Amino acid sequence: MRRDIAYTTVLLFASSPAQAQDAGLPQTDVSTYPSQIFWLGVCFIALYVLMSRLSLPRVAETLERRRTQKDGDLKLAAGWNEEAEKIRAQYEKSLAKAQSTAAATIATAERAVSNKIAEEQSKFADNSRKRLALAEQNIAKAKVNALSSLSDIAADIAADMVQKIADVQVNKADAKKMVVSAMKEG
Amino acid sequence: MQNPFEQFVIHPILSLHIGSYDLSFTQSALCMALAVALTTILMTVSVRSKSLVPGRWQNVAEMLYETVFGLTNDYLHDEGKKYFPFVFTLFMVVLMGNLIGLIPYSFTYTSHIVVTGALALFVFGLATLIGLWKHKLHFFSLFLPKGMPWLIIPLIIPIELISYLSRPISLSVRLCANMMIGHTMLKLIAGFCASLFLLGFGFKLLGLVPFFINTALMGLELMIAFIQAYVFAVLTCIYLKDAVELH
Repeated sequence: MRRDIAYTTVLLFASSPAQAQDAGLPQTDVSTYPSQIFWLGVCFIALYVLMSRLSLPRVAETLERRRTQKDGDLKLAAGWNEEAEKIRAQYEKSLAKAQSTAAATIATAERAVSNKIAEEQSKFADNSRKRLALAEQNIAKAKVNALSSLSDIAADIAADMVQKIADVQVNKADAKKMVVSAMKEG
Repeated sequence: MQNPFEQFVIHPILSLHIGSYDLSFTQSALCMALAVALTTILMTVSVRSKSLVPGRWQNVAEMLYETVFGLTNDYLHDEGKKYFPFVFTLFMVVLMGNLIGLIPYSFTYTSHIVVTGALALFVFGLATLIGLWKHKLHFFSLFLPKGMPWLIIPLIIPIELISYLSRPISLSVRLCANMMIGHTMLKLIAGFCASLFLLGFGFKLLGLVPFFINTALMGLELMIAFIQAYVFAVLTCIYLKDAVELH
């Protein structure tokens, strides 16, 4: 049974019920040429008309529409990109400006501080120099006073010594004169 | 084994006689009509949505369109738009003929030399007429390449003439022979496969060998169907380019 079915299938597959051409190729059967050429012509013209009038303009329109849409989208995107770029440039500019302002402020503050320091330092130096000079003057004055009273003391001591040793009354003014001249010599 | 050429025999479906001519509607004509219908459906219905993102079939339609449009644009430049519908129709007639023929039990009208010959002669005649109409007598400079030493001119003109006249022959025979050989091979191997299956159990396994060979051949034939249609369109463009631009 199965073999019969298979055999029938093969027969159907391999041979045709119509007149089989035993000799030559079916392609060389000239009697079929008019029909083939005629229907090829009909079908070709039909397809040409359908394609050129109906289908191809439609496909072209679709592709064109997509292209313009894509171009439009790209242009839009390019516009947005440009805008973003502009904003970025603006942002960078303001950032740079803020940075330079900050730097200027810092520089001004530093200059002010260093000026103040220098001023204070010089003021302090002047002050201390003045006070030093004043102190030196006082010392010199004290020294002069000390030196001038030294001769008086020396004259007193000398007069007392002479009275005690020689028991001679000495004039205070003479004693001073003698002391001063001795100091000068010494 | 059955005759592998029987698949090419033409059977009438509707008898039609006009004058002394037999213009019967045959299975060949049915396949041609089917090709027209399928092409129209593919190129029209699938593109109906006009959507921004194409669907599967619309993608196929657009790919076919752009393939042929690219051809006419590459070879014929600005003139390409004028000839595009013609080349596209030609391409689809050949492609659909090749593809429909691959369906088992169907018929391959492109395997008949009279069909490919008629198409090729039409292309050849059209190209020649366009060339003559566009360039008048200058068209014959096609047979005389520029800068030829005058001594070999008597030799070059017949060669160029013969190569020009053999264009429709090579164009039609290439397509027809490709289709015929492919289908004959498929049929031969299929018949061999069936014979082995009928022999008995041991041979059934052996019959799998031609079965798988035929499966692979089917893929090859599918490729050839596209390639031959493309080659037909390319050569048509080249012939039209020669007619439009000369050398």
